[in-house]
Amino acid sequence: MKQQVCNFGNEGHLLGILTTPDDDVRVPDAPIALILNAGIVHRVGPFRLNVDIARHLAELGYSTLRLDLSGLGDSGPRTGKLELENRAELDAADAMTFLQQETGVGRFVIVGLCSGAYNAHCVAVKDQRVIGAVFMDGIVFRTVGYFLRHHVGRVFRPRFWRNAFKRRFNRPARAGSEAGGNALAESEFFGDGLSKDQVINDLTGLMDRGVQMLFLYTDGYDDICGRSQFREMYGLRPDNGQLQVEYFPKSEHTFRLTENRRAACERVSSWFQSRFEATEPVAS
Amino acid sequence: MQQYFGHPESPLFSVYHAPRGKHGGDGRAVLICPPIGQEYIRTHWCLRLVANQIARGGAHVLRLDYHGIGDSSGRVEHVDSVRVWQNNIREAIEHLKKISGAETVMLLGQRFGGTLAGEVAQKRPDVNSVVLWEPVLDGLSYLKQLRAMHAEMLDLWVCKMTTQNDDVSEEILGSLYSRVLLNEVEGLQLNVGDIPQPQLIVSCGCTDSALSHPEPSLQKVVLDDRESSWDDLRELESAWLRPQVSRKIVKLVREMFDRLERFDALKTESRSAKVGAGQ
Repeated sequence: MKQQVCNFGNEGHLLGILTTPDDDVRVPDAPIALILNAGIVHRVGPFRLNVDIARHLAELGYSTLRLDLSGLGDSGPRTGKLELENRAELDAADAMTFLQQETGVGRFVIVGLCSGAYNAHCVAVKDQRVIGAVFMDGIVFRTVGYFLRHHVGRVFRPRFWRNAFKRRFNRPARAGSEAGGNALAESEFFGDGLSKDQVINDLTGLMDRGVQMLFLYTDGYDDICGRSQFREMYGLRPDNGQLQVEYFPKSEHTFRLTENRRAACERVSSWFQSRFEATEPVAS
Repeated sequence: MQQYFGHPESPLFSVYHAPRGKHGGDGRAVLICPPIGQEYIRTHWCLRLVANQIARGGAHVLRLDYHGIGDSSGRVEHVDSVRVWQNNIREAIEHLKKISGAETVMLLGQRFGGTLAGEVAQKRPDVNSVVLWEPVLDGLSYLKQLRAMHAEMLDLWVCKMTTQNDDVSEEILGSLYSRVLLNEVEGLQLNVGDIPQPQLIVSCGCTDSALSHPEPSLQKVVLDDRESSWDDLRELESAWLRPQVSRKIVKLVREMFDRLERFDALKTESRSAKVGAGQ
C-alpha cells in the first residue's frame, strides 16, 4: 500500500492522507472512503483508529482519504463569511472534488466517529456522490428501552456500583483540569443538533437513494444501550443488506483497546467488501 | 508543507513550517520530536502551535512522526528497539538540513521524544542545542506510570477485561509494544549532564537532581507550575495544552538562537571544535 499527502481546498489549506492499495489487490471502480475527524483529534484518529481502518481497507483493495477538517489537525482555517454553512460539508465536498479530479472516482463512502459521524450524516444527506456511510457512535436519541436497559439494568450490576465508587473516591477532582473543561466542548462539535424526525427523514432519504449504511455503537457511548435501540429510535429494521447495525458491548467510545479496534476495523472492512465488491454497489 | 521522506519502503511523515520574520532563512532550524503512544495524540495540537510560533520567529521547523506512530508507515508493535526511533530523528535532522540549508539544528523533544532527542544529540556535532520538555529521565518509572494507568483503566472497564501481556508483547494504553522494546525502555536513563550542547529543560513542578549539569552555564531550567497530568487516567484523551509555558519556550528558543549566533555556534565547523573540546 502507499500513503501520500494531499493538499486541496482554497489555496490548498486542507490536508488529507490518501492510502491506496497495491495494484494487484485494487478493486476496480471501487468508491473511496473518506474518514472525518473525531472531535479535535487529528486525522490519525483516536488511538490511531483511522490509520488502522485505512490500512485494513487498502489490504482489501480500497483507497481511503483521512481528512483534517479546516482548523483541525494540520489543515488551515477556512476564511470568509460562512457562519451558516457546515464547515464539514464544505470540506468534504472539496475533498471529493479533489479526489474526483485526481483519480477519476466520483463515488464515496463517508466514515466518522462521534462528531465525525454527525458530520458524516450531514455530508451524506447533502452530497449525492456519497453512496455509503459508516456512522460510529453517531446521532442517537434515548428511548424508553434505553432507560430500562441502561438505568434499571445497571442497578443490578455489581460492577457498575463498584466502578462508580472507585471513580468517586479514588482520586479527588483537580481544579482547572482539562477533563472538566472538555465537558463544555460537546456543543462545539455537534452544530445545533438534529431532531429525531429530521434524522428519520434523512435516513429514509438515504435509503431511497440506495446509500449503503453501517451503524456501529459501543457500550462506552453514554446514550445508547443495546442494538435494539436503533429500531426504537428510528423505526427502521436493520438487516444484513443496505442498513446494518453493530453493537460492541465491551468497547469504549474511542476503541481504546487493540482488540476493540481490530474488531471495528474488521467489521468496517468486511462491510465495505460485501457492499462494494463489484463495480456497482450491491442491491439490498 | 507536509511530506513523506526517508526510505520508500518505510517512509516517515513530517510537517515543515517555513520561517517567517526577520531571521527567516539565516540558518536557524528546529526539529520537533514528539512523545510516543497516546501522549503523541494528546500533544499534537500543542506542538503544532509551538512549531508555528517558532517559525514565526524566523526558524525552519520540522515536526516528525516516528515509525509506527501517527501518519508514518509501520505499526508500533513491530518496533523492536528505540534505535529505530533514534534513527528516525537522525534521518529527520538530515532532511531538515537539506530543506532549510541550515548547517546545524536544535532538537526540541517532549516526554519520550525528549529522551530520544537527548540520546541522539550527544553524538551529533550538527545539533547546536536541545530543548527537553518534561523529558522522561527514567524509562522504568515512565513505564510504571503508564502501566498503572493501564491497570486502572481495565479495572474500571464495564466488564472484566484483559489485554495482551506475554513474552512477545504488551498492550499499554491502546498501543501494543514488543517485549524487547519495553525491556530496552526500562533500562533507559537520560542523564542531561551527558549532553554537551546548551540545553533548555522544562520541568513540571519539581527540581530533580537528575537535571543538574556539570556546566551550569549551558543549562536553563524552566519550571511549569501546573500540576503534571501525564498519570491521570481521566485526562487520557484530553488535548494537552500549556499556552503559558509554550509562549515561554518560544521566547527562550529565540533567545537561544540569538546567543548561538553570537557565539557563531550555528555553523558545523565551530560546533565540532567546541563539542570535541568538551569531550
